[in-house]
Amino acid sequence: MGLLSIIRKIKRKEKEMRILMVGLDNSGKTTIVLKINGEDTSVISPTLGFNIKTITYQKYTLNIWDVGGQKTIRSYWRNYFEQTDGLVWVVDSSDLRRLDDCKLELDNLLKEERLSGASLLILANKQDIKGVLTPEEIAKVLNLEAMDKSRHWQIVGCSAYTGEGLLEGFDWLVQDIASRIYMLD
Amino acid sequence: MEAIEETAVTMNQEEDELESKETVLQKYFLQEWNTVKSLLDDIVSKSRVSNPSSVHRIRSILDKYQEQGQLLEPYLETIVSPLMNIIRSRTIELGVASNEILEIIKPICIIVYTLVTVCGYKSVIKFFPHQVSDLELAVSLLEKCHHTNSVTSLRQESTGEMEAKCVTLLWLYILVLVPFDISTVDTSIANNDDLTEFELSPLVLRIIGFCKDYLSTAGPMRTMAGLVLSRLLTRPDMPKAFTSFVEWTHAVMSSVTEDLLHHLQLLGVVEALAAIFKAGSRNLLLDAIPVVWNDTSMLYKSSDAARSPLLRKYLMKLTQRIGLTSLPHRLPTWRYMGRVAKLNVSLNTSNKIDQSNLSVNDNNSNSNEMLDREEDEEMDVPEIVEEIIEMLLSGLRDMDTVVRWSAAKGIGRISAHLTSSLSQEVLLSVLELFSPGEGDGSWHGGCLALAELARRGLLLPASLPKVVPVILKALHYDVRRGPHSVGSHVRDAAAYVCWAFGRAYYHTDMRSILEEFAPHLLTVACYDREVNCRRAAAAAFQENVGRQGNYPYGIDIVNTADYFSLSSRVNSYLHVADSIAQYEGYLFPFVDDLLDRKICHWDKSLRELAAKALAILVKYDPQYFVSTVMEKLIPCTLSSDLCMRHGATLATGELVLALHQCSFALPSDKQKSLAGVVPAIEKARLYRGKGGEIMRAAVSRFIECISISEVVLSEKIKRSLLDTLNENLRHPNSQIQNAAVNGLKHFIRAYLHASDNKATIDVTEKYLNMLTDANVAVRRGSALAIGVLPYELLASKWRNVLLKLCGSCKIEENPEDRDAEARVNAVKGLTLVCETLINGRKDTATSFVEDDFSLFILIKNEVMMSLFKALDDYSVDNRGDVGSWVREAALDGLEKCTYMLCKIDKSVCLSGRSDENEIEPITHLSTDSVHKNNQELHLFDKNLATNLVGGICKQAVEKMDKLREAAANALYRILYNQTIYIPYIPFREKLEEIIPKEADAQWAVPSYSYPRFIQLFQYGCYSRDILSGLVTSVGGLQDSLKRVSLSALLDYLEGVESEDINRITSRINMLSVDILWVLQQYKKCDRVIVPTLKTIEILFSKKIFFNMEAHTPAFFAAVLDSLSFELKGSKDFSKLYAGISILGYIASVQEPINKRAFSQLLNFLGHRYPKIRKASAEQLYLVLLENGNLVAEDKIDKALEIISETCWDSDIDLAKHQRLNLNQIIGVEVGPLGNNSDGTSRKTSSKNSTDLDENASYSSLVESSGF
Repeated sequence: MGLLSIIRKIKRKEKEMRILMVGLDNSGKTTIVLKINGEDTSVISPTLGFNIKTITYQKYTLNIWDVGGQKTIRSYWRNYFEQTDGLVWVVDSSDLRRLDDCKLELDNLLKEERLSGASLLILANKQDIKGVLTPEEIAKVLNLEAMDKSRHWQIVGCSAYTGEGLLEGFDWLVQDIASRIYMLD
Repeated sequence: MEAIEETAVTMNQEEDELESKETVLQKYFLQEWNTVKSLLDDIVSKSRVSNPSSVHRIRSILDKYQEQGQLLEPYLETIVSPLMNIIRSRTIELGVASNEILEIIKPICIIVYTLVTVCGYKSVIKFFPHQVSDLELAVSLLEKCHHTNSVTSLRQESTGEMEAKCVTLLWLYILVLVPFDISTVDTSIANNDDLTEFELSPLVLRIIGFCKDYLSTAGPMRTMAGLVLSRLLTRPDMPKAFTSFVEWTHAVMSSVTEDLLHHLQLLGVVEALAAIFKAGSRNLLLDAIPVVWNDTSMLYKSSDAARSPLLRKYLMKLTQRIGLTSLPHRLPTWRYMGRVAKLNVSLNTSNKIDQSNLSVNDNNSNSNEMLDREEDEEMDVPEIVEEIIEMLLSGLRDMDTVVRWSAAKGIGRISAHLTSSLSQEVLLSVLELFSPGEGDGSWHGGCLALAELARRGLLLPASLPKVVPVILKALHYDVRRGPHSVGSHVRDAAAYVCWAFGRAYYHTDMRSILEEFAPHLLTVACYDREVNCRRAAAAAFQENVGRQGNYPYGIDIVNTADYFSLSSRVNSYLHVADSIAQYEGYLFPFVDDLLDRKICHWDKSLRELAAKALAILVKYDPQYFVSTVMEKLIPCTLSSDLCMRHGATLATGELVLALHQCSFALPSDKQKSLAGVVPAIEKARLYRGKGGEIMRAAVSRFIECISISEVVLSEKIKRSLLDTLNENLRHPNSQIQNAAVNGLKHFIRAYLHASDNKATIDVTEKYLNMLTDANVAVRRGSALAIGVLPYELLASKWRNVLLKLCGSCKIEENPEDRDAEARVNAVKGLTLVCETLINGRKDTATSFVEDDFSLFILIKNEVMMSLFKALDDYSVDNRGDVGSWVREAALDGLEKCTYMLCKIDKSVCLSGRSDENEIEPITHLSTDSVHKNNQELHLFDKNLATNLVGGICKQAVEKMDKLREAAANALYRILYNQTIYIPYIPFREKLEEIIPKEADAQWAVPSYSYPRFIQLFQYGCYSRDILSGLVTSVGGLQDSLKRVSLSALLDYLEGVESEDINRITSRINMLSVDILWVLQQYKKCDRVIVPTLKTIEILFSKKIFFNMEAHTPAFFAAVLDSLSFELKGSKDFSKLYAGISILGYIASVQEPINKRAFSQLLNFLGHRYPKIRKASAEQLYLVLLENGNLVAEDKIDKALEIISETCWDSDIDLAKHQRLNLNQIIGVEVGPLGNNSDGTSRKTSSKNSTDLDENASYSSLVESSGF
């Protein structure tokens, strides 16, 4: 039994979930991770790489992979069997200009076969700013209703600054993953 | 031990595919679930399994998900609940007295048990019914199963008996948890209420009774019985039963019987006790501990345990649970707390405290340590615990992985309940496992234990300075054992420790340790021999770097060294390592690892790879490599260890080459020591004995490298190196020869042209003479050597060189001398020499001297002809079709020479037209017009083009896949050559249609290639070549090829694509002519004739050739002529069979020619081989039935009777007598009696049978046919 099989076992036994956080730059991924980890969110600079944070929620251990630039992310989630259970796509609700970009990147990501089973949480971030798009409007722009029927998804408005909406979003994500892979425990 | 490692390796390889398999299975299951569901609905609606096949169908679907049980879990309830309800309700309905109940539950239990094996029992039993009243029911049901030990137990296919027992036991496992006193449930007590308080209820006694029975079985019931007991006996109302069971186990464990049954019973008892100690409360178990522990430790030392890894594993489990029970339950306050935030907590509170969170934690841990110190003093550790830890430590050393795993977990669990000072002692003992005297098992066990401790927070950062050096050593653990080594499992486990560290420790605590780990982890990731270790190390690195957030170049390295890039060893060594080495801090560890562990590795291919990998790193610090690395390597070339000296020689060579490539000038003292390497090896006589061959190849490569780098050599050393190369050139091992040829190529270019002319001419002359040496190895080597000689050495005697090489391409006249490899090398050498001669001419393109033209003519006439002959090399020896190697080389040679000739033609044209030197792409049309003007000047003419394409096409339809592919690809390149247009190819357009430019080449696939090439039958200039190749496929031995090629031929003949009947007839006519040509061309050449006859036979059977009007009789006659010639004296059964069958077909036609075939057939009745006589009799019988006019009507019955009644394959005299009778009946006179059919008869000239008179006597027919 080598390391790679141990990783698989541990993942299952310790009720680990692997969550990949992606989205365009400056959408607030790292801020969200720091916020839910209870760390200081006052000084944030662009993420030049990736961070793994382990957070517990209820009886589950969430390993959150917060990944920077989109072009190079692939090897992180394809590596070492740690299949991605959940995908968090963060949208900057105030950045109307790049919403088309955002849609394009999301569509590309969802085409990846290895992400086909992952639950998708879309966080419409920066809801604390006045005049931003609502989650419903963003859902329309991203054309989420047209998604593959087998995909579990949810869009939640949030603010990484105040923390609003984050618990709701992650609660949905964790429950959804749990109902798929640990339904009996 | 090794077996385990091997399985570990294969396991890991299998895992590669697991992940993607999971995704596929997931999608797949959604579809299959519908099948399962409908089958289940049917079972549920009928309350029984009416069709046994549905059970097997369900089982075979579910079994596929063995590795991905979680996919099934969402469906478990829908499957299990209704099935278990059937079992329950039917048992109530029918009662356990009837036998029918068993037949109903067995198939259902098979389905449920399949789920248990796929998803695990814990998931499945959640959906079992558990009403109080079910308890008695289940007990009775199990008793019923238990007592019907059927006679069918030896049957392979399960009848469901085992499954029924298992499922009922698992049901009981749930039911014994009923929260009432069992005696109140027991109906037998209600009947006679005289149970005293000390007696157990009969129901309990029954359960314990059969559980004990099951404990000594070999099946899965053993484990399940243990589980039932663990819950039953630890119930609060069962202390009596518990005590008596422990007494019973004591009796079993202390008995010394040595038989299989007792061994099984031991396994069951220990497993059951382990389950009991897991389930039971401390108060209940404490009293039993002394006895059980005593038995356990005795048993661990017994021979039973020594023999059985499984027993040792269970003992490890039991031991650690005894230990856990003995220790007071407490969570260690001293434990390291990784700072893991709680999502909801941090979100709810984060508004108020952002930074204070951390400081609070710090305070907590400080105060915890204080508290802990105080507690330590009070902690009272039972003596028994020390013995238990002792035993677990010895389990870490166990020779079996499963035992080590269990022991490692035990160490982790027990340490969690110890005081910090005690656990410190445990850690020290674990670290002792890494001492030099310990075996690989101990190192592995030690790593597992360290990882377990770290994961539980029991390895405090304070101890890490002691632990880290040990882990670093383990990461490189590799111990030679004979011709290989052990330790990949240790390295893998060490990577596991690093991975566990990354997860366990807060990133700031881990930072400095990671800096220590990183170079080692990446060394393993790049350079480990085993893919699982490479990936494990990279995974550990990724996990750590990810948690650091911002590690120097972390993201780039993780990107480079990912799961997939590391899967290939070559890629890891040459590319991944190269790009990681550019980052600071990795170059020197990499170089050291290669030098210390890989250059001298036992795996030869790894040494070769390591030498290359080392050279790749040179560019990062050339000075270091010259001053330090080379200094270390050169003395090692004389090492007494073969692996070391081989690796060092190769590495030194590659190093020199790499330094040369980055333009680093070697200091003269280094050049001097390099020059001395080979003479020193020679002087030490390291070519002799074991490993000499390995050294020879390495030395040749070394010479090649220093030649390319032009290291300064003295004349004496030059001579000595040339001798070395010449020596290796005559070595029978082809690898050594090839290495020597490569060395020679560069050596001569670097050192020989500069010296006096005499020596250089000598070299060429020497190799020419060697071409005709008696020793085949010498011939092989010299042909290759001539191929690599430079222009200067060939120019003066090109004619002689070419002619001699052409001679060597021919099949040797003396059968003793024949050697396919020598011919292959000659063909290759010839091609190379032509290239050198053409390319080496001083003035390319514009002017030609007289000598040049005679060279061109020689290439056109002699070389091309020799290559065409080589393309017809069909030599066979005991290795099979060795001629195919020659043909393959000839294909390549012809292709290259064609390009050369065409290029010369083109430049002659150009120089004739203008003085322009530039070569511009000329369009098809313009070249054609040019060619018309200078027709006589052309070397590559229409004749050559036809032969070339025809020859290649022939190879493209023969029976060897490899050659067909090579031929098709060669043709493709010739048609679409980018640099030069090949003119004069007949029917070029058609060829381009057959071989389209954009073809995604599938030429190795017969069904792709045959239908295309067969189209060429239409063109007379190719049809014969195609046919003589095609018959070997159609009439060959390989069935699939036969089918494909035949159907392609028939499709063509029957004109699938055209309805034009004339066209079809003309195609068949053409084919018949070509077949006759093949029969003539390859007379008595069985390689072609036998398959040709078979092809004719097959085509006859498809009724081809019967409708060619005037051509038909002529064709038949010619075939008969050929047959009489070919079959005479033949001993080849397949040839004879095919011939007889063809005679049968011809005899059955209505043409006059049938008589001739008929009489030939009659003659075979007297053939000397019994089987042939029988075959011809069968054929005759069929012919007579088919064709009534061969024999007078009144005699036909008699003739048929003789043919069918006679036993033709017995005595030959009897056969001949009967043949005479037959001849008389039919009215044939026979020539002189005797063995005139066995090939000794006189030769008669075959007569053109088309003008044969119908009335000519049979005897003259017989005579003319030569029998």
